[in-house]
Amino acid sequence: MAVATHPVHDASDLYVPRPVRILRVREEVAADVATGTKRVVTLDLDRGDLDYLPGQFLQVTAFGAGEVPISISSPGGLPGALSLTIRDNGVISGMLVASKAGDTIGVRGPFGNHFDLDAHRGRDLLFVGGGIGLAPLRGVYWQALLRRGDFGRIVLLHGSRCPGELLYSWQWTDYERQGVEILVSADRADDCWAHEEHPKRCVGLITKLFDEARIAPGRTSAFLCGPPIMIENGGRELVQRFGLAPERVLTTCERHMKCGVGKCGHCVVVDRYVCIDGPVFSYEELAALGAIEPAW
Amino acid sequence: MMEHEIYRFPRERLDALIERLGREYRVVAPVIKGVQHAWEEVRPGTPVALEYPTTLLPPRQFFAPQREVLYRYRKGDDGKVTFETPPTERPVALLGVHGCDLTGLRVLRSFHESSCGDRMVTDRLDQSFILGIACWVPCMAEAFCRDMGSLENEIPADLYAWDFGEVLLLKVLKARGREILADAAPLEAATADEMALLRRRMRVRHEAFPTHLRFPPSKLPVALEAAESDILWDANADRCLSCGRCNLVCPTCTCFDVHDTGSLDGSQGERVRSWHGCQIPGFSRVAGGHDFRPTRTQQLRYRIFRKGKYMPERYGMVGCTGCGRCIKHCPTHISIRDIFRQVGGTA
Repeated sequence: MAVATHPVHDASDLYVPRPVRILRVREEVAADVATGTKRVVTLDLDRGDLDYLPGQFLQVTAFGAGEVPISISSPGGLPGALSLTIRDNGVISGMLVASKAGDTIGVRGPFGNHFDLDAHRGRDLLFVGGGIGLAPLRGVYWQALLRRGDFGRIVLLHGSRCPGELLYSWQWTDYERQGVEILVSADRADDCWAHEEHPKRCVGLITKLFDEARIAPGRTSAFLCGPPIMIENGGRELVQRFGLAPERVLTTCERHMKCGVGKCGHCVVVDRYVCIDGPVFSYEELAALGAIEPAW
Repeated sequence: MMEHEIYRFPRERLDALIERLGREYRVVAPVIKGVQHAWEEVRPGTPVALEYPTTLLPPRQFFAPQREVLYRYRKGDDGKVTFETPPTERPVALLGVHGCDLTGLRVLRSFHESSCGDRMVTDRLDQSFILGIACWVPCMAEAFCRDMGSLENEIPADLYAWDFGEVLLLKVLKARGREILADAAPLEAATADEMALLRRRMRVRHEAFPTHLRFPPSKLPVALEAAESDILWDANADRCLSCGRCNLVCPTCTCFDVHDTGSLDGSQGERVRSWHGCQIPGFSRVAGGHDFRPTRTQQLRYRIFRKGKYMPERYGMVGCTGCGRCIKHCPTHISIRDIFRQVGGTA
């Protein structure tokens, strides 16, 4: 299902990034010391001739700080900017989050395999994004919307710690108009939650939304990304309780990475390199690797 | 063996060989340093040790250096960023490489040629000159090169030597080896007596090397797969101090860290890679603090599986050469050889 597409490099540029200009910066989540909420921004980049597939990632350099792996949050194969949604999680991501339109950052890639939507033609698509984990899925459901007729229902479940941390809410109205069913959850509600004009929401873990999503197991493919515990428990519930085929539950793995090309060794899971064999794996593959406790 | 050209080479001509190589290469050989031997740059006249216990650090330091600048960058006033990669250094010539370390270089190549290919490393391997040397006796008690099949290995040497004291017999493995040799001394074929002596000694050499494992290295993946006993891993991991020495002295470890050093205003700086290791705490930790391989048992088990199972399956070569460095330098005497022996017992 997951097809590896190794980028072509020559010797000189394997580790040397290309400089790219930031076209726009959109604040997705504002920092809030009270709730421990970290700032999240989406950087739209002038991508030049760089093309990619949904699910792939870039190694992104903040000059002077270093390099981190970031998933691409826009659909490939189209003109238009390349989007990266980044949370202020450390020194390097903090510098990226603080950048302004017109700044230059460095990118290498794209790296890794991708979500192959062709393999899910005619099926219902269920997207499950926990927190910043929605970012790598955005390019996938965006791609799916560009060929809306190829798929059945498109259901988007998004959960976060608190309502202020939900991502891309400015796009929801537009998505719903295109027939995406959106359900959101927050671990705890806050004042603005009560006034928000969104009917499909619940307080609790994202897995609570599964019951609302009217999942048809035989025809549903699920795309999960979030904290490791969400991937493990969410995947198990979908397989065990809702009866989805384990090879139809796909996730993208987050790992520490220094190279993106299967050399630095940080991302290895058992005998797989997340950077070149992944980052997209099915629940079936992860369970076979012993990376997660299998549901069977 | 006999279809190769074998020349006699008087030991006193060694300086001439170093001089000849020095015209093109940075010549490196084992040199006594305190109580240990280390790979050091040598010149004619430097006392080179051709008979030596394995060096602390393996020769991979010359192909994937401990610290290496990947590039320097500079940001102009207009915001434009320019990159500069470091100039290529002189290729290296290694003198007196044991079979275990020759094997280590083969593993290094098979790893770095895979997937995208790290030409920074493979180019250095391509351009290097290597004189291998046969071991007559185990160079240290921890070595188990015979078990791992690297005692007999001569690849990727250009020239391969047998040390007979005043005379070395040199086998030509690559045309480049003959060329360099002919420049350093008149080519003189080994005499019939010398060849007879070589054959005789090679017939009995293995008797000096005790065997430690009851199975060939090709069976390691199966043996490890069968070794589900957690007791083995826990008992060893309980002793592990997570110091990472085993990683750093290993001839086939390749993992690295990358970090930037920059000027305060971020206008210029360099990106550096340096050795890292899977036994060092935090190696698998991601932003936010989650560690995907947090326990010492998981880390130790991973190192052994990586060497004995994952590497042969992925790169076609076992990741342990039997050099014995990680055993010798482990402060708590964790032994990959004992672990292999124990998993062999359960297979």
